[in-house]
Parts: sequence; C-alpha cells; structure tokens
Amino acid sequence: MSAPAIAPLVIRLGAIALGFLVATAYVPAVIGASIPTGYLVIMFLVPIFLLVSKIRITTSHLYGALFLFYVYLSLCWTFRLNIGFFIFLQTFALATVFCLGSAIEDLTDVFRGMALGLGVSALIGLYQLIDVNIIYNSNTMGYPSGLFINHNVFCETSIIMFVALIVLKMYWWVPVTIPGIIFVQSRAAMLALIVSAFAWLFNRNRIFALLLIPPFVLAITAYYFNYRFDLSSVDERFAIWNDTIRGLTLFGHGVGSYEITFPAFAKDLDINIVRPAQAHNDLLQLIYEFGIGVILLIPLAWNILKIKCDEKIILYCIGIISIFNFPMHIPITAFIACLVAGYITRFDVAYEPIRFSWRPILFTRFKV
Amino acid sequence: MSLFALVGDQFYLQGLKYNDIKYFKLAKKIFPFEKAILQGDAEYYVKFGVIDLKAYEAIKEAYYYDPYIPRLLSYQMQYAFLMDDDNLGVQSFHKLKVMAPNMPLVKELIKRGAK
Repeated sequence: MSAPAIAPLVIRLGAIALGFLVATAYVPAVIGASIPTGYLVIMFLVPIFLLVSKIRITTSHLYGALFLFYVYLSLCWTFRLNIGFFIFLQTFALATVFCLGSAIEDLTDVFRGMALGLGVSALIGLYQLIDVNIIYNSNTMGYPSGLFINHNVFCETSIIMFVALIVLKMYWWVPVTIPGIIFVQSRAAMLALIVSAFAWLFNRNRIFALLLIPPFVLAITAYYFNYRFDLSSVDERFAIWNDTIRGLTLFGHGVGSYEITFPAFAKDLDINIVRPAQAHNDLLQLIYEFGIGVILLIPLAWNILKIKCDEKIILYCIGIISIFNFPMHIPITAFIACLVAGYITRFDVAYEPIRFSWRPILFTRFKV
Repeated sequence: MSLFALVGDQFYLQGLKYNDIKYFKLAKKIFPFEKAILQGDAEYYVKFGVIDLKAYEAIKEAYYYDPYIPRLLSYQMQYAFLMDDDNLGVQSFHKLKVMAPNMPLVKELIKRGAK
C-alpha cells in the first residue's frame, strides 16, 4: 500500500482511538483521582489531529475565539490564578475539539470509538448491578455507574450517545447505551431524551409531534401522582441556583472560580453538608464565571442553531441536561457537544476576511 | 502539561492509597494547578493529627485555596493556637464566628468565654 493510501486509514483509526480514549481515560482509583483525565487526552491528542486537518473558518470560530480570549483575560481577576489556569486549559482544549469538529469529514469514526468506550462502562455497569464492584462506584443504592463514578453522569452520557448514534444512523452500536439508560433512569437525562425524540419527530411530522404533547404530559403527571418520585434533589438545585444568582457580577468571578467562591454566597445551601463544585446549570455557571462575556456565546449559539440539520438534536439533548446538571464539565459530554457544534459549522458559509476584498481594490487604485 | 497533570494525579492517588505524605508533596510539586492536589498534604496532616510547623504551613496554604470553608478555617485556628500564633488564631476565630456561628467548636469556645 502506498503512503497516500495508508494516511486516511491511519486518520480513521486515530479518530476511533481518540473517541475510545476520551470515553475510557478516567478509571476511578486506577488512572485519575482528582483530575478528569479525559481532558488530558483531549489536550494531548486533539492538537495532533489539528496538525493534519484543514480548518475552515466561519464566523462561529471567530466568536468562539473572542470568547476564549475573554476567558483568558478573566485569569486577571480570577480568585486563584493557578487553579483558573488549568480550567482555562480545559476550555482551550474544548475549543480545539470545536475546530476538529469543523475539520473532519465524518463524525462516525469518533463516535464508533466513543461507543466502544461506553461499551466498557456498560459492561462494568452490568457487573456493578450484581454487586461485583470491580471499579469504584460512589452510589450506595445499587445504581451502576461504569467508569463515571456518578450514576447520573453514566445515564446522561448513555442518553447523549443513544441520541447521537440514532442521528448518525449507527444503529448497531445502540445496545451499548442501554444499560446506562435502563438501570439508572436519571430524570434530567430522560427529559432530554424525550425532548430530543420530540425534536426528531418535529423535523419529520410537525402535526403528529404536536399531537403527542398532551397525552405525554398526562402520562408524566399520572406517573408522578402514582409513584411520587423524590423531589429533594430539585430543592437542592433551587438552593444552589439561588445562591449562585446571589453571587453574579458584571464581569464574572473569573475562570475556574465557581467552586472556591460559591460558599461565600451560600445561604440557602448548607455548605457544611453539600459542597457543589458546579452550579448544576451550565449557563448559570458561565454567567457566574464570565458575566457579560457570555454575550459572545449568543451569536455563536445562534449561528449553529440556525442551521438545519439532524445533528442539532444531539446539542438539544446536551442543552436540556445542562439545565439541571453539568455536561460541559464532564470530558466526554463536553467533547461530544463541541465536536458536534464544530461539525455543524461546516454547513455555514466560510468567513471571508474584509482584507481579501479591499486589498485588490486598494492595490488597483494605487496601481501597485 | 497533560503529562505533568497525569503524573501529579497519579502521585496524589498513591498518596490516598498508601497514606504517605511524600506522594502528596510530590504531586503538589509536579502539578500545582488543581485544588485537591494543592490541599492533599494539609488533608493528610489533619487526618493523622500531625502538629508541626510544616503541617501548619500546609494548612495555611490549603485555607488560602479555599477561604470560605469553615472546616479549613477551624483547622487553621486550632493549628495557629497550637503553634503559638495567637494573632492568626484570634483572627481565624472571629472569621469563623461570622462564617459558621453554629459550629460546635465555635459554640464551645464562646461558652468558655472567647470573644
């Protein structure tokens, strides 16, 4: 085989390996203790991919770059510089994933790798179900968590992957997501699944999708009144959100400052019992850390959401989960979000800098 | 950077596994960018009740990285008094009174006449 023929194969295998490693990099108490090692894989491998990729710049890239610059500036007023710097690097790593998403031709190879990695978690989760805890599990109620420690994160990742695999028509890989969905049933993730299914249906048959809403609401209400599921975690979320809102400032507290500075504003939540590292609402946490800087993300989000494509459903799913949890802080879910967002920009028009249009005119005028 | 983070995290993990201070110190030296790693040695000193100058410095540093946590502040106060640093001890006590007035230690000190 000639070198040019081998190169695409190597890139494909590399993409599968990248997906697999992002999904399996964190093995609690084996590789990874305090640092989410998935980010380390992203920081190390994605730039290598970018070296051999050609990035097509769109306006979304520019808004993203501006936001990244603001994040960098916020290091000037963040609470502790060294801690903020590491979070900045994580944000930078996600920006590289966004660029990678906009550069690759096909998402399926990366998702194949991630599905394989999730399969490992699913297998471990099945063992955990029968009380064989080969990997540390923070849950004491018997819910499996795979490699994610937290069972809700396992469920959320499984549902995001489920939606992604359906959207990308990779049906053979769907079974790896089933244990995380069936045996955990995180409510936020289930809601995300319902909304994603609705969005998918809405794209195909609007009337049928709208007709499904009333019976669905009825079914959920009936389910609630019959089983009265525990809402104490909802109260806790409200307490965290209230306290977070109390701490909002114009320019934000700076990158990576949430966990350290939140207790200063905690009144509704007893920080001697619960110490949240995240606001359990990604947008709120962004506003807390970056204040008005978040405005830079609005045109970026608008640019991506205005494009008509099925891949957007994956972002809706992550968006719903991010209202109640923190998928943008979990390496694999943040990776999926940025990769898909970047991929969607390929349907957008490429950015053409003004200099390319004024230079020929200027040069003609001065006859250079 | 990734490599440093990975190695630092591994040392931190070894410290947790074997309860050995040298691992926590190595982790902190290699990768001083993560809160848990930065506080690893202080947590060790508190856990094993080590009272010396090194422990005191480590606890002061841990508190620097997490100044709104009553637990750490109470350790800083106790260590300050034990190390005869009464100024910092009293300062910490006043902060603690405001931050966590219902903390048993604070109540006990007030009961004993601390102002």
